[in-house]
Amino acid sequence: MKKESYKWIAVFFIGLVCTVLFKSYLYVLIYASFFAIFAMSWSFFTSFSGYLNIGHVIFIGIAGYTTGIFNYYFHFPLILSIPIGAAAGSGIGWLFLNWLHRKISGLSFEMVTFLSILALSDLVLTSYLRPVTGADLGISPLDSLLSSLPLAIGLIAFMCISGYLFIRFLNSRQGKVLDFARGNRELVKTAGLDPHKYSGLCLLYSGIVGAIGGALYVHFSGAAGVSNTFALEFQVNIIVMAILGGRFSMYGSIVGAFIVIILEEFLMGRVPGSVQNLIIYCIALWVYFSSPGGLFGIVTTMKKRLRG
Amino acid sequence: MPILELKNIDKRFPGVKALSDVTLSIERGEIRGLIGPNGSGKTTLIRTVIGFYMQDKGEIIYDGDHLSNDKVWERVNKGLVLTYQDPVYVPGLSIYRHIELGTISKNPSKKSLEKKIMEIATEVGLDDKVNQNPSDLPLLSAKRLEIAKALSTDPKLIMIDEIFAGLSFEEGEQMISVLENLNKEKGLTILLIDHNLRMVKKIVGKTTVINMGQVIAEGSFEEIIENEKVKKAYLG
Repeated sequence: MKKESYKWIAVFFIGLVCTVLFKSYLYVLIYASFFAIFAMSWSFFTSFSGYLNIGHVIFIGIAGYTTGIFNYYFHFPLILSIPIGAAAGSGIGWLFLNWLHRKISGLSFEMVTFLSILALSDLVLTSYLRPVTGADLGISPLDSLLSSLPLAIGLIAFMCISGYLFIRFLNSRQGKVLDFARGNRELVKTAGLDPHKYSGLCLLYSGIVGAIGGALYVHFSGAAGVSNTFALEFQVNIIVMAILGGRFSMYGSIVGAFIVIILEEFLMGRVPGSVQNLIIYCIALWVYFSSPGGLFGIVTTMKKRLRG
Repeated sequence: MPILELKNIDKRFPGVKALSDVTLSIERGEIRGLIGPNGSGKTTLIRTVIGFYMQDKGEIIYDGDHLSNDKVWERVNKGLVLTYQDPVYVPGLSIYRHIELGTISKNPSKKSLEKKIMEIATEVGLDDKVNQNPSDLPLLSAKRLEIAKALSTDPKLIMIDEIFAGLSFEEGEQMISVLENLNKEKGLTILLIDHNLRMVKKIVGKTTVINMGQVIAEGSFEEIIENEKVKKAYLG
């Protein structure tokens, strides 16, 4: 794990250098760091537990709306509303998804998580909840996290610490159980272990990181609305970033998020929004067909070939 | 006191009564044979005992404990374990890691863990193969791995499903020697489910015969092969 910690320190320093080199693009760097955190936390649970979670934005959305409500309606300062939002997002999201993954698996889990985010999107948009959620306008304006150097550094640090802790978990005894549970849950049961306990733990860590990211993100956006929380497109973007970079690697998710955000920024104004998405999805498709391990998988294969 | 008692177990699947009023008692330290034709309910019975299926009726008493509400892993942690007819493993993960998996619930220290894994590997004859991938193993070694996985959970009773299936006579004899050692040296109780009567005869004390989900005979091997119901079940 010592080697792993050096790698994450190196990632942090690369991030720091980027904040200096690309000062005028700090906004893009922050935006990419947020998505790297979301992609990494989604990938951590989905890739290593064997459950394809299409409802990861539940963590982000509950956290985002909770901090929004406390900040906007009760005038809680960010230092209080963000932890409350993160706790609510990870707690409520985990209780729901953990219960769900104990009850169902495979395609049923995917369908139910998918339908859950559709239902939650419509729930916050409903006119009955307009006084609380702001319906289609969302909750705004929220106290804002400004696009600043300390925010960028803080986010990069959070991303690196989360990535390091995820890998530490995967290398622990709990992570070793997940390696088996992903392949054969019955085998884990006959070894005297409850596979759901370990995947539930993985889900909890994934949810905590996702929810902290979600609570911060709405304040960076200045509003808590469907499009930056529960929206299906938001979830799809997170998945695309993870599979493009390589969902079996924390580094891959980060690379994927940065590539997509930089590409979006580059294409903005040059092509219409729908074409922007088309280009990104086509690249992701091409990479995924070439290597299910994403860009990180391609690099790993090339490295192996070079070594002979 | 018997280590395992099954009282009037019934198990029904849609359209099939897989087990009907099965009553069985196994003494501590015994090697018991459980035989029966294909589809007679042998595997269903052990999967019910381990908790993969819940019985519709009846009681499972293990080491004085009623197991009806225990989950599979809770039963395993009480010392009850099974092995699979077709070796079950996760390709890409070494034999060492497969044996390690069963020890995790006991949370051993790193040093004692390594020692334990190597002891188990030696007991089953896999000590020179611990770093190999199970997919690369010949059938006999894969079956040895099944036994090793079971041993890693510190069992008191091990239910072994069709361990001789696909093995040659010589390989079967090697397996018998492994099982006999475990029974004698570790005092393990063994429930041996098999088709290979030639092999079963060599190792078991008492044998139970099951057919169409019902126990039809019980006794020494010599007694049961003379039993008319058993002859009818096997020969028609």
